[in-house]
Amino acid sequence: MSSEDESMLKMINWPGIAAGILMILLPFTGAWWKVAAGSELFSVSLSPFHYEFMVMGEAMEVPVLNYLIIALQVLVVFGGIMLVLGSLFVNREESEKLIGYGSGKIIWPTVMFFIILLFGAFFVNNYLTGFMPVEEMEEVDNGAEFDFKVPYLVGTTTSGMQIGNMEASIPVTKSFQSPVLLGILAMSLALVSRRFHGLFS
Amino acid sequence: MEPKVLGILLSLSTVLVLLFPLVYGFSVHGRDLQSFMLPREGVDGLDGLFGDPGDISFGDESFDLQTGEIELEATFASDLDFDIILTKFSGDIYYEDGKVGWIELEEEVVLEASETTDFKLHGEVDQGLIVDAVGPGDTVEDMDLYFENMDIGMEFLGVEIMIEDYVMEDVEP
Repeated sequence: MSSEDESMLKMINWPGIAAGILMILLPFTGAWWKVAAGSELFSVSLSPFHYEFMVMGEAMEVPVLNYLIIALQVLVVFGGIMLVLGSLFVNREESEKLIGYGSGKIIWPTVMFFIILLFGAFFVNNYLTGFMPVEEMEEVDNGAEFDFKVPYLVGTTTSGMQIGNMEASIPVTKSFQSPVLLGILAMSLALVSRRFHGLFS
Repeated sequence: MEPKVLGILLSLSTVLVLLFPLVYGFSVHGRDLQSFMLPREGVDGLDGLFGDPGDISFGDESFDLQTGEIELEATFASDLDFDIILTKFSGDIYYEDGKVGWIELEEEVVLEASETTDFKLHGEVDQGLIVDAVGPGDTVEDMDLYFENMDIGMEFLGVEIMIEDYVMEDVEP
């Protein structure tokens, strides 16, 4: 390898290349996280680029989410391509913009994804009971009580409800799926690529 | 290309990529916000999960007034692909004025579900099946049935449900 080749290889933002390639692959790797109630009563599988709602074994679709997911998939692939281009041509003045833009397309969706998961669990644990029509059920003998408890990110809890003489216990399980590791790795590499780019300038 | 211009183009492309599928999808759904925003499949089956008491049907009955044994099979109609069956419960028959007054069922009653392995049902009827005015020679069709003080436990798709002191009235064989 000539010294010219070696210097060219040194002028590549390798973390950015790796993050960009992972970003291009991420929309096709499936869910990052899953919550299931009962065995097959209800489940939701999510990632920033994928969703699946199942109710009693039947898939449920929300049209607006289908189109939003397509938009996010295109955006992350486009961001990955921009990140790769910016990382390949670090000596070009557009490079910083491309790396900043591309890395942002995995950093922000990933951060927002975890914030939404935590907020969702916080809402269910603290406020969902207040939205149940307990007052309307006061005419039912023994009234109605709801006790919703879900894990924040992973784990199993049991939620309960009592309406009249009926009591139901619903185990709720949350778990991460293996593609989340790719997402976190891509986000970490994207963050490193931003720092790494500073070395060239 | 000037970095500033590139930044503007990239920001514009983000907005377009996010908006275009949403606008396109909205127009495909006839610009009906409700059908665009709400789930469209899979929830109808939740209605009538356990049916109404009026949906119960009976079959394969034996009702022996001489021995005081009753064996019934009752099926709860359901919109799902299975029915719930109360089967083979027996008990003591009490008579009033020469007719069957009421039947006290044994403590443990086996309740089963059909066509699924996901549904486990166990139950206890501690007072029982009330039968009004049935005389010798009458069949189960002549009975006026209702259940009371039923404690029913179920496990359905991993969810445990317990119903205490359930009364089921107006059961028409």
